[in-house]
Amino acid sequence: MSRFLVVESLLLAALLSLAAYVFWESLGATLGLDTLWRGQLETQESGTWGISPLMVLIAGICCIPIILYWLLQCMGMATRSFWMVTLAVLLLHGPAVLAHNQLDWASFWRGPSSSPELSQMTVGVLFLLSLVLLVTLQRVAELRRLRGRLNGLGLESGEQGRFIASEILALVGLVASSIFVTAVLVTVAATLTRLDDLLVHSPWTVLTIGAAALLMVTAFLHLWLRTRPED
Amino acid sequence: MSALALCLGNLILLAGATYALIVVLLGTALVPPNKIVVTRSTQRLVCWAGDGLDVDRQVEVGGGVGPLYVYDRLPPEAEVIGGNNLQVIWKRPGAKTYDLSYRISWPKRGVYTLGETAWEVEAPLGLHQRTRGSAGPSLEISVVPRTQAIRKVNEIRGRAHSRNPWEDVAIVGPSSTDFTELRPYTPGDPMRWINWKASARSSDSANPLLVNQYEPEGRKAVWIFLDGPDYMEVGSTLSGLIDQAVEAAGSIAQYYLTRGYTLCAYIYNSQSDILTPEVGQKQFQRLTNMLTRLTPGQPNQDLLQAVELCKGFLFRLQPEVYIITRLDVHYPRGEAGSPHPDGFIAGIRRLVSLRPRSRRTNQVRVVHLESEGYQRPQTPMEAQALELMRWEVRPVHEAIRRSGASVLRWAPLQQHFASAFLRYLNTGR
Repeated sequence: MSRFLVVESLLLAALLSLAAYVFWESLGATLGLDTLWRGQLETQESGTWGISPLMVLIAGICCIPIILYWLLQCMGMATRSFWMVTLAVLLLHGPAVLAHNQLDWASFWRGPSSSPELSQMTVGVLFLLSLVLLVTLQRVAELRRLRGRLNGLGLESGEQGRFIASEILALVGLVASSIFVTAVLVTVAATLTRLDDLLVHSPWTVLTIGAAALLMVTAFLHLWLRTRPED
Repeated sequence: MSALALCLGNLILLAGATYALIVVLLGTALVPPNKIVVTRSTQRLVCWAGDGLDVDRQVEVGGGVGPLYVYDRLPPEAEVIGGNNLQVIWKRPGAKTYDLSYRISWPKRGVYTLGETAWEVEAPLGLHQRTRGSAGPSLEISVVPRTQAIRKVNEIRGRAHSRNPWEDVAIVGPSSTDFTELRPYTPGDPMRWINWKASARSSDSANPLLVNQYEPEGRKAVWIFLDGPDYMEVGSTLSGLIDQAVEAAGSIAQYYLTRGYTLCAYIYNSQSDILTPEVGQKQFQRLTNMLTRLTPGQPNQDLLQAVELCKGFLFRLQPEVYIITRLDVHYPRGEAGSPHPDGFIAGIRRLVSLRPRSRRTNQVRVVHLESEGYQRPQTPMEAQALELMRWEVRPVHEAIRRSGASVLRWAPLQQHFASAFLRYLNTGR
């Protein structure tokens, strides 16, 4: 079995397990499923294991998309299989993420408003982690296809290895730098919320001049980068 | 996702959207390799069939990052025997130069076009569209057929029947300084040939002037007729009967040219010109060039027509003639498209009749290439058909012999042409 298949399967399993956990934590309590689970565990005699409907549910959430993914891959629908997994992951994350809306549209329309079971930080980290895994999964699947293509073209395994290593290095660099930039942006945004009071008390003149200066710096940078002579 | 996050005031969605946006922005910011210049060179544009030829490529890439694929568009007959035609490079930042080479070989003669060097680039994370291009002029490589130098082989022993053909002199051609005889003057003889002393002593009043007769310069001539239509294309695409016929023609030509003979040739049933009489290594190169470009087609000319076409040269040079063909195709089957049997035998008769009666013996030789072994029977019926073909050679052989020519049989899969040819020269069979 190819290393890429192993990595791809592991990524799929990690993605779906995370999604299942988030889904379980956000909706399990609301629907009273956690009570059913705990009750079943308590009623079971020690040393014996039974199959509960919830175990089937969790196993189904993890296994069915994996099976579907590989089935679609075998049928040559690689892009669709990836989007199917993406959709499944986002749907499972949906309730937990939407529970942290700051604009309560549900109460505006006089509907039931959801109460978050997981903290915003936990859901945010898990959601970002899922996105990172999705990007990695997409690229690993691409690399698997690329390796097949290089094999078909008769490239030696040593050259293939060097080529794939460079691709993996680029992927790691991209993911790491994206996480870093996102983290910086989120931290800056979180820090800026503390300045809300400051902005309220700031005069409009300062705000206007500051905004104009920021725009001018941005425009300068943009023009400078565009007109810079090529290396 | 960003719009949804803003509508819902959801910070988690906003962070997710920011991450996705940054991934796309960074992926797009990495420009694929660009400003690609490819320079290609080979040691030579002519090579022997089966020999290796190094192709060197220098690829200069101006900038960009990502995978770069470089490959030559090779003809299907070409075989890469060293290195790899397709080279995949992961281009790192900055201007780079790569030296890529591979070794190629052609098992079959011909003129092949080495297409332009093609390249493909893509962005490191596949976010740019793949770009293709090609560079450099196409190269035309002539792959010339291999010929075997015919030397004396120890294992072939036999009584020599030939009268030292390498000592025969030409019938026509420029005169040498070797004196032959005195003869009466005939109009057109150069004045400087008149032997005044001998003429003064001559008592013949009818022919008072005597001239010195000198031996013509050079040896005799040899003429090769090669049968080149599609029925000679038996066997695999890499090594068929036509290639063996080409090898035989080359070997015969080399044998006689190294002995100072004048060589002429004509490939009948093919769009070919007459190789006019010349001597030396350049003539061999001309023949090789002609044989390299030989492409078998539909039969449209028989031997008689070919002889009539070359009659002027044949009559003047009185050459030894070699006809290289397959005899089984000349059996009179009466099928549409099969060569006319009378044309072949009549052509041989015509060739024999072009010589004086006293010099007709054994000067026209038919090289028969046995196709057995090239055709592998799959069914008993095919095996019977092959057996029948073997029998069909006999009457044609007999007709040739009666016409005053001899037959050199050569089974290419069983022996080298040099062996068959030497055996024939020594024993006449």
